[in-house]
Amino acid sequence: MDEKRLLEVKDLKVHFFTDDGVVKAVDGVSFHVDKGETLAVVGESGSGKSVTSLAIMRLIPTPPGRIVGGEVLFRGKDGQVRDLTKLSEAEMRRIRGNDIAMIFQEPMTSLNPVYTVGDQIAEAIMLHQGKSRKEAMELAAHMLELVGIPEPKKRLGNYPHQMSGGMRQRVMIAMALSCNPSLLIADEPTTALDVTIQAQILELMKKLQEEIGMSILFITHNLGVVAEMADRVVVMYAGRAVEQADVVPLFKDPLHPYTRGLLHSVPRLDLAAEHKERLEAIPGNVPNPLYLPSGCAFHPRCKHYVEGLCDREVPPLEDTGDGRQVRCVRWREIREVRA
Amino acid sequence: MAQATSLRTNPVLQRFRKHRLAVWGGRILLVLYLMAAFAGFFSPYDPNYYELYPPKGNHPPTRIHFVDPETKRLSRPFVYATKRSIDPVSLQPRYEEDPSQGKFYVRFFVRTPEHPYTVFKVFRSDLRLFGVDPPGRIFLMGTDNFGRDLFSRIVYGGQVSLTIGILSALVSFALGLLLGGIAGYFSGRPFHLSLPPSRWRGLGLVLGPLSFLLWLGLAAAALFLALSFARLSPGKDPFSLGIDALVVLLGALAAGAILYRLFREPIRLDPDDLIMRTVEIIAAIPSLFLLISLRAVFPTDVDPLLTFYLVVGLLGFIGWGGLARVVRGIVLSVREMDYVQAARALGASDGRIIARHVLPATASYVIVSLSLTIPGFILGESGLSFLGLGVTEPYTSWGLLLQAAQQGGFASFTDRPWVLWPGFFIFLSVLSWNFLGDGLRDALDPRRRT
Ligand SMILES: Nc1ncnc2c1ncn2[C@@H]1O[C@H](COP(=O)(O)OP(=O)(O)OP(=O)(O)O)[C@@H](O)[C@H]1O
Ligand code: SF4
Ligand SMILES: [Mg+2]
Repeated sequence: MDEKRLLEVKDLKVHFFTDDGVVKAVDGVSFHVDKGETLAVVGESGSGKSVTSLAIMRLIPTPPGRIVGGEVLFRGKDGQVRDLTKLSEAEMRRIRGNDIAMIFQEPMTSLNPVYTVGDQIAEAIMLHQGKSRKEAMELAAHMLELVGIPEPKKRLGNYPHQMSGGMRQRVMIAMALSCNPSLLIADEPTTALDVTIQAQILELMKKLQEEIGMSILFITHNLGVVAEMADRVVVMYAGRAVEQADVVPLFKDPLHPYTRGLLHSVPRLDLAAEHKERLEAIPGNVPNPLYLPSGCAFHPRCKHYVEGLCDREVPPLEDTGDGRQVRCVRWREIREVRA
Repeated sequence: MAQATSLRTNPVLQRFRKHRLAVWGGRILLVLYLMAAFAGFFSPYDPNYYELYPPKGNHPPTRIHFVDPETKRLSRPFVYATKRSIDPVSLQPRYEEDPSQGKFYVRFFVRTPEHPYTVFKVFRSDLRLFGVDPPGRIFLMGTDNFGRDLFSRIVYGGQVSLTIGILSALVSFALGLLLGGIAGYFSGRPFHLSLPPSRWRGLGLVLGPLSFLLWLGLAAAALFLALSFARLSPGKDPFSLGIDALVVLLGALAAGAILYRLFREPIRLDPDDLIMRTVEIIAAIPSLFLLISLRAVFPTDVDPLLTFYLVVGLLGFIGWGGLARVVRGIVLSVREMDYVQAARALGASDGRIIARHVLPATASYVIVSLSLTIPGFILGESGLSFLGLGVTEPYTSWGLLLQAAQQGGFASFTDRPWVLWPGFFIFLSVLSWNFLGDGLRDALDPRRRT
């Protein structure tokens, strides 16, 4: 693995064996995260973003789910590269929280209501660093200060219900960062917050990333947040990556029809006036994961769909030559038309 | 800081204090349990002591005088000795005060060297809280038909009645908590009861063949059972021969099915299924019937008290089902909580998650339910004694005392109402436990957390 690579996911496959059939929630996803960068994973609900992140952490509920194929190469703090899918449960526990940390969507329920926040942060610290309770509490206060909570010493003794959602998400971030992880997985960390708080939390994450130098795997379906945070973007649809590019080219020149649909469904104040473009939602719905359409899974909703071409085989993920990848048989034509 | 929640400001304790009845329940229980623990000290007489002459059977409660009849002034409490006569009509003994023998002052912290006792079966002592000098007698609650002091017997009876509930409740709660917790936490994570030979790797190399042997044995047993049924069945007519053939066929099929599964795929079992089905089976056992048969099989030369504790302890063994169900439900819901997932993502192990997140979530339910189950066992004890299934003489319990009380028929309640005192103690302790449980529930109810 390249020196600057932190994480490399290769052809990851996660299937859920339910009573109704096999749900291929993630079916051959590959991407990488470099040291210090932020990779955003976007896609509609049910496209497999959370499952991907849980698979990296090896937290897929088994049964019914299982990682059925692929590799997750990760460079630990010690510089060693390991395939996380092959580690034992005990080895994996050492990585969770210590090398890779995670924050979740729901700050309201991600903290146990019966313990004080100080207690919970200290617990996270004591799990990985052989620190005494007292030292852990001191570090916890320091972490609260770091995430911008006023009067951190006093706040340590607060119970979660005494804090607002934004504060709790700060506590979650403090907890996640307390062991200096090299990768932070944030699964829609701001979705449950209102817009101003959302901006503050994003700002905080960016600031901390610079200070600590960690990488972030940012999962969201909010493209505005992507533009704000990400260096690179992976677009997922129905368990597969359909496009991958740096953030600027992707926003300027989206190649995959699905990406274009996503971008068009975001209100853009700067364009609305001149182009009189209407907000366009992508027609149709996310396909039932049990019965994916043949060929390109997006074809029933695609306006560039060509019968006999798109619905035969799953299009390969093609390199476009300029460091981007796209999974669409017609991407060249689509690009020409736009140019 | 966190530890600032001292006892004084602890919200749970504060809420509990507001529940007056619960506080009183707790105090009464404290007194009752102290009395049972130090029964020798609180009882004026040995529970089995009685006089042959003069007999004191069915003696009413001794009257305690506070006023000196001669001076009409308040005096130290004293009692008179009594004189026995037989009622010529009912032939029942009657007792009358006999001031001629003088006053017997009630004395506190008296020593009775001729009647020593032991505390917790270890410490010997003869110090008693109160008493009167012989030949005076103080029977606070009268005597039974032998003339044994009822109050002393009640105090000693509490030792059995009050602890039996705790013992059985603890047995059933330990089991219910453990098994319900396992069922809930590991629900959906089946464990392997066997591995096909193709997957004997690592630890499976040891466990695989071992479990294999077990299942092979099971298959052989099925076959053997069927064959011996055929061999032993006496009938030689076509019908019974047909039955024999059918049984052998079934046995062979069962053995074949086991072998087939054994080699094809792992036999897996969800702990949740296993435990919950067990609970259902146990719930179908008629417990009274079980108890009677258990009593019957226990050898009679064993200490009857020990037998009784064993039997009721066994009641605990079949009483854990209800709690296991509820605990399983709580654990199942806690398991899915976001904070459990978050703890996992921080690298916490199963054991840590159970200790830190799962068990505390069941704590309030368990405490409350414990305090409401114990009175059930106290009542159960009196019911069992009533049926003659409880402790036996020379030991005593409140249930046994009540049972002895009703032996004289209805007349016993009208002629000597004091024999109902044990009932009052049962009532008092059950009520107190219920109030305590009620208060604990209100105090611990998570919905009322502020
Ligand atoms: N425990 C499970 N059992 C069965 N199927 C599951 C399970 N967890 C996830 N899936 C399936 O995996 C697919 C991907 O789910 P995932 O949670 O990754 O979506 P997502 O992209 O994170 O969506 P969202 O934006 O709503 O969070 C879904 O179709 C879902 O049905
Ligand atoms: S492959 Fe065909 S259907 Fe799929 S996105 Fe491209 S054009 Fe649309
Ligand atoms: Mg999700």
